[in-house]
Amino acid sequence: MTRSLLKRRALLQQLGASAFLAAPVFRSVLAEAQATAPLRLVVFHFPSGVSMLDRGADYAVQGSTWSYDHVLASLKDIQSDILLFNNITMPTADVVTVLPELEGHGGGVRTMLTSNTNQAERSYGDATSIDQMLANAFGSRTKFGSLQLGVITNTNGTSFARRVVYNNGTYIEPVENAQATFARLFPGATVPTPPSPTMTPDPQATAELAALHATGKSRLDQLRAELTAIKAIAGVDEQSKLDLHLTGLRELENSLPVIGSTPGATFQGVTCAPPNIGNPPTPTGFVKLDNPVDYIQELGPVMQELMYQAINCDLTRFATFQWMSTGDNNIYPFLAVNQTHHTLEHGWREDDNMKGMYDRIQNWLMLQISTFIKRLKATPEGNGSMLDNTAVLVVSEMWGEHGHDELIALIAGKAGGAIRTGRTLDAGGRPHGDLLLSLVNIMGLNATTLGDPKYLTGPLNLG
Amino acid sequence: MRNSNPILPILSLLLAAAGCTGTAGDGRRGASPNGANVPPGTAATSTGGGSSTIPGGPGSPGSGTGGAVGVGPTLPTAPSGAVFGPTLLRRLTNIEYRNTVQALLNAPALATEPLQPDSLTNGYDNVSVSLTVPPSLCAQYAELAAKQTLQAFNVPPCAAPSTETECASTFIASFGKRAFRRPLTPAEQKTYEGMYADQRTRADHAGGLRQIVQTMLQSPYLLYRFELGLASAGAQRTLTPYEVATELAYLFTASTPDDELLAAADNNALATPAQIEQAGRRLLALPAAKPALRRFVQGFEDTLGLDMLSKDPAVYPSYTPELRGALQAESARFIDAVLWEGDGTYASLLSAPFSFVNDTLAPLYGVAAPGLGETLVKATLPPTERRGFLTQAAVLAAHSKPGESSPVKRGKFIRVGLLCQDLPSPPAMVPQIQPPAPNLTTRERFAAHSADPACSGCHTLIDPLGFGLENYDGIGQFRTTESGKPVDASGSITGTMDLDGSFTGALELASKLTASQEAKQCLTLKAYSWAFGRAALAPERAVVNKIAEPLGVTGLDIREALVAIARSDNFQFRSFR
Repeated sequence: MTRSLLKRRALLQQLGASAFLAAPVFRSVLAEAQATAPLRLVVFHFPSGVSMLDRGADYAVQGSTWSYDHVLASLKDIQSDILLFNNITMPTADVVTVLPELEGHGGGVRTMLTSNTNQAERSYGDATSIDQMLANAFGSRTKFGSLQLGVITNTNGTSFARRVVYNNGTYIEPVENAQATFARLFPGATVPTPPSPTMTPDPQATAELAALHATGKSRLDQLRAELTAIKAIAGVDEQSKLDLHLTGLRELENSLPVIGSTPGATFQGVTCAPPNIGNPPTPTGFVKLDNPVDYIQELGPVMQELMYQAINCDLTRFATFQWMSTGDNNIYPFLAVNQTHHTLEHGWREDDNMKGMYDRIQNWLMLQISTFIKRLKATPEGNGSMLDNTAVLVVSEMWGEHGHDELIALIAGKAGGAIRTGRTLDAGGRPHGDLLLSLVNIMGLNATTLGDPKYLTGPLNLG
Repeated sequence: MRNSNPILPILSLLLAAAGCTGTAGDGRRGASPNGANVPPGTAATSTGGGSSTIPGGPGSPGSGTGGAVGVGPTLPTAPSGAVFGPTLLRRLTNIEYRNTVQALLNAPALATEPLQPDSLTNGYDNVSVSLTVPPSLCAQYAELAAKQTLQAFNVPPCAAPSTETECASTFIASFGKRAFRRPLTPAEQKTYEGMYADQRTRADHAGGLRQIVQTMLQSPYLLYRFELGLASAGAQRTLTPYEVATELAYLFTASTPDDELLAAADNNALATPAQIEQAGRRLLALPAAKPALRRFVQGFEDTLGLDMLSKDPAVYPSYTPELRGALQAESARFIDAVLWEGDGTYASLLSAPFSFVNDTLAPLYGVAAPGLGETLVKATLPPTERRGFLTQAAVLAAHSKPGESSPVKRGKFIRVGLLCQDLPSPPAMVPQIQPPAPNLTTRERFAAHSADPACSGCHTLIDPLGFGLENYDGIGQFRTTESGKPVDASGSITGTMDLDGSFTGALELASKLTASQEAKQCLTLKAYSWAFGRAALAPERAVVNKIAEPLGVTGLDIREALVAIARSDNFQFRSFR
């Protein structure tokens, strides 16, 4: 970046342009991490489980072990980095007393990362998903406390019955727009332009940065004061909504230019850079049921790459990625799938053709997710790879029998050594809340409970 | 029924003049002569001593006092014992936000807006519980505010003898009032003046004003519609005149209150049902009412997702982007015609013998192409095939599958969408209906639903309704045969208040709906949910039915239903929650 560009941005700012045009990408946030690499949690949600069995096979007899020969084939070559789970249940999903739409799919998706039961009203009580527990505790260390991305997540049911991320009862929708995400993560960047590591501070540029900072901070201070005043008079149901809004303002503040910062040479990984996202399609409206969705094959990988670079640049350490919606009612012609994903989930046991289509979707999804995992593995960090300091939880809200008696989950990555990979862990039927509790504690919380404590037995030993 | 209580001191102060200069203090309602006590922690309680900057106006009588108690305008008191909806902060939908910014800046909104789409809940995009400001959207608002300010805000001239500081103060008061839909409190005025002065150390006068505008365009006071009210009795709240003005403006014009409406609030002239009705009727006559009400009807028809509706090209090669665009345009034009050129009734929506076609659409309806390209022309459709919105291709295609019709989707739409009944969720493992086959009609394939006892419980409530629309395929083309066999479009309805019985075809179904009180109540219920951005509470159904009752006699004019909702106590009162 040249000084004249910086000046132009400063000028724009004076004219009223956004603080995002300034240069927060170059903010150094990682001085602390030189000695010990940061721990990260990434969650991929994919809908409708997998068909782990042959069609017609008896689940009780055959068991439900994941197999690297079928749906996990794309992860076979890195299975030493993966921990498979067997025999974890999700009892909270079936505790539904309020809304019929929360049965099955909705119940599963809401409890998946919270372990809450569904007795609360729409606001979902005080449910907080594990990524948000971590963001609430440690999120201030990075520019974004957490990140939520996704693709085609809006097709089934009411909005509160298809969301996986909750903070104090309020759900957080994933962002599906690549351009908007790029602009948010890498403000000011227009093309992948790795910063020059040799740039030296310039007194005039520093003064301009200071003005930008002051201008942006003045606005944000006012907005925060207003929201805080509103919180004091708003009802109890609106509190978490306003808290969520405040979180956004905090992120904006982190995006302000930092006075005296030296642009460049502060990225985490050697490959950290705004990714070249090309020109992927932008979902502009409401996704209607039964839509043939081809654009997912173009948009999905771009969104994943954005998430990878957000992690790689240490813009956040807690990210969730939602692939499609629970009860996904789209069809996928590019995979030769002409019945809805949801229909296939219900019907794959009845018909070879349906099972074939169902498996094609899940295999393709797993291939996408494996690409992300391998990106982390290929990124050096310390003496190992970025994957070594990360836990990538890949999880579905139900399994391919439309039930919750077997949680479909795996973890890639060792989370700094706390997780022993390269094996299958038989959890003996313990509730999935135990797994969630282990994960947040591995990431540095000292939590003794989460979700509905009636459905916890204690942390699952992942070591 | 409606008593009158002296209004809070801060409000009377605000109502008196925009340029008021009250001193900070504790403006508790408890101080009013009526002695209405304010429960601690509610909106009518000051939150922290005299320096609180909680603004007056909507729901926030936290600061400022000085108006003589008992003097000045009055607000009605909620009738005791009645059930009102909860107090809410309703985030503007994207469309409302765009209209609002456009009105504030008196300039077209930017063509490309980065706001992420609102999600649809039960067909509508304005459901309050779904409208939050996640960090991603917060950043988008900030970006949009910056762009709008830079590109669309015209700095007002400042001429001697006024100083720039005086001009800035005047601007803050006037723009602030329009942005926040109420006068700024003295404390807010002072804060924004301070912000201007601070920015002036870094920029010129114009830059100082831009800082104000850029902040207000993303202020929570702009982004959220306040329906907090002032304490009435117990937990009951009376919305302030400014909140009522806001409610009316977004209901009837999907935009911010205009100057006349704000002036009515200034004069406390939105306090009685008659005053509210008068203001509402004025708004209904504005051009902005047309797209606003159209959107309500489109939500009712569940066609707001139409722009993303795709079909299987192998089955429906004629379903091109042009045809989809024509369906949308026809649907919109038809709604406008019924509402603004006809009698505006639900009956007309169900039974109008005409619609609008262009050259792309005419073949689908089997009428002559007008020869004017994309331009829609009013046309009488084949009278035995089409009447009203139920037979419109847009509605039929929206409630179909990609490659076939769908008795289930259509039946569910009629029962849930048009009769407002609830259906239980399907069981976990359901048997599949076999895909289209050359020798079977859709109806024959769906017979499995009534044969299987696990399905028939619910599907007897759904499928026989949808079977009645089998004369229309997955994109709404009329058909009398399917798979070489004649279409059987006989249907039946059970489990309703006044619709039970058999019928054949969409036209007979539409006639039944036209005569049904249950259907009218449902439309009114949908209008009610739309007006308030939430589902009606169970006790509110009685209120809704009361609103629908007199309207039923005259055929339920949709505009009148909305006016009646605006006149109802529930429009003006809330229960704090």
